[in-house]
Amino acid sequence: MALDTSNNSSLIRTNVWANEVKDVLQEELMLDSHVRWITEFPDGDTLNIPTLSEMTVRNYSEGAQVTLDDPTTGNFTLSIDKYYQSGFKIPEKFRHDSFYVSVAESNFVQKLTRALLEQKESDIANLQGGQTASNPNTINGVDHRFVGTGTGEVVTLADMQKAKLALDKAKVMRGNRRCFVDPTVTYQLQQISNVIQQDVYGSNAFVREGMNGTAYVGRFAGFDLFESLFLDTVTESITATAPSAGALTGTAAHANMFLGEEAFIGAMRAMPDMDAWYDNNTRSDVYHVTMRYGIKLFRPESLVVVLTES
Amino acid sequence: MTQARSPAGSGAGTGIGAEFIADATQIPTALTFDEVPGVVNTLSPGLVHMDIIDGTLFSGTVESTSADFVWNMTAADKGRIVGITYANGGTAMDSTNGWELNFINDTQADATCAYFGLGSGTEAAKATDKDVAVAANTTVTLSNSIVTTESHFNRGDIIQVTADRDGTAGVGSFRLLVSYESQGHV
Repeated sequence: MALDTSNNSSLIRTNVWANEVKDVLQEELMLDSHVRWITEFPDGDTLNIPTLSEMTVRNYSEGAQVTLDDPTTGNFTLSIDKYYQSGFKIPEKFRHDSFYVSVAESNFVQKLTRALLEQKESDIANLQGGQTASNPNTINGVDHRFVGTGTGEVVTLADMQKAKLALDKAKVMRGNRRCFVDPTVTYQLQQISNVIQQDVYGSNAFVREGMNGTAYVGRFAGFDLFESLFLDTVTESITATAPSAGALTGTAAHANMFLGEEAFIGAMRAMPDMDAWYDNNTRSDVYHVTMRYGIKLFRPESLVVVLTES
Repeated sequence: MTQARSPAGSGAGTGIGAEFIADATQIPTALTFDEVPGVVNTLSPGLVHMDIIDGTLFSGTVESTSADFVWNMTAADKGRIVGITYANGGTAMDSTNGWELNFINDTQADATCAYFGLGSGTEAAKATDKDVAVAANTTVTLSNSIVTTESHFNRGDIIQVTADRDGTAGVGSFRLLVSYESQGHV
């Protein structure tokens, strides 16, 4: 008699479970770094920041009575209005019986914090909604919200140059400008021969050579380009003014954000704060995280949103 | 005095616009500021004295064109212009030399408050209310026949006076008589 598999199936492990686990891939979080986080906000839930005007100039003639103008002042308000939680529990019986309990426990605990940080990333991307929807949001004669002018409402280099124009006209600092785009924007850029064949628009080695293992794409028209998967998706018709005037509709379009200095402001009241305890009532280990903060569009002139379809 | 620095709206791209941050939008917005009158009339005695002197007028007056003089005052309360007392200098107000005095309410869409003509020249004849010749070194009193509610002003309204000249030799001064009433501009 042979020791074959047919007659000795009890010696065969037909289904083997690995020691390792397969996890979902996670996107790099980076929008947070372009928010100016205020630390001088120790209590209360509303922060007021006074706004100041420029001063005026009048003509003067010899011997005339002098004119003293009142400066114009205003107010910017930031509220701590985001309060999130995330949690789970491990019942005692699962801990007794599961081979994977230690892996699951450590994995899900760190994902509580990750989930809240992703929520914050999404909230920051949602600040594009601080602009008026379906409106060019023109400031100093240049649109700050428009649909990509490429065929099929995809991005063109002219769109990026128009974003630069918008910030320039709005007196936004030239340095530290970034844009956060959907990867489909990078895809479109890689179709443009001027971009991938020569460095006429900046040092775009990353785009040309197929990225560099990071979300950094390259530098176009004074913007450092980063890819993000957290950007909002909207459907809007916007009638743009010059340059590149005309009405376009972006359907399920990515709201790519071109940002200058101090576009967003935020205050973190409570960083993700992990609590873990044993609940005698349910015989379970409980893990729970909360986070509380507020964010807002601080300088509308520092934000340009370009809506592009995939 | 007039605004010299262009607002950003009309002066966009020039880099000279004065701006403030609007509360509602938080967007830098062109700053426009009111003209500052050279004269503020008072409740008592309710008279504003203004001198018309060739070339250099009193404080706060701006020569807007070669022939026009424009200045402002702020109304201290509701009321209307009752009239003027004009003291003429050494040149007769006639067909050669004279003044057109046009009082409008700058705050209320330039509503006409009063309209006087001194002399009978081209400018003086424009005045629809009064048009009188004044001999040299003579004083005349003119009453304002415009009594509509539109001609009244409210507290804080800026009353703008434009003087257009016939000739260049006219010199004189006038006192503006203001009546404070319960009726304001409507």
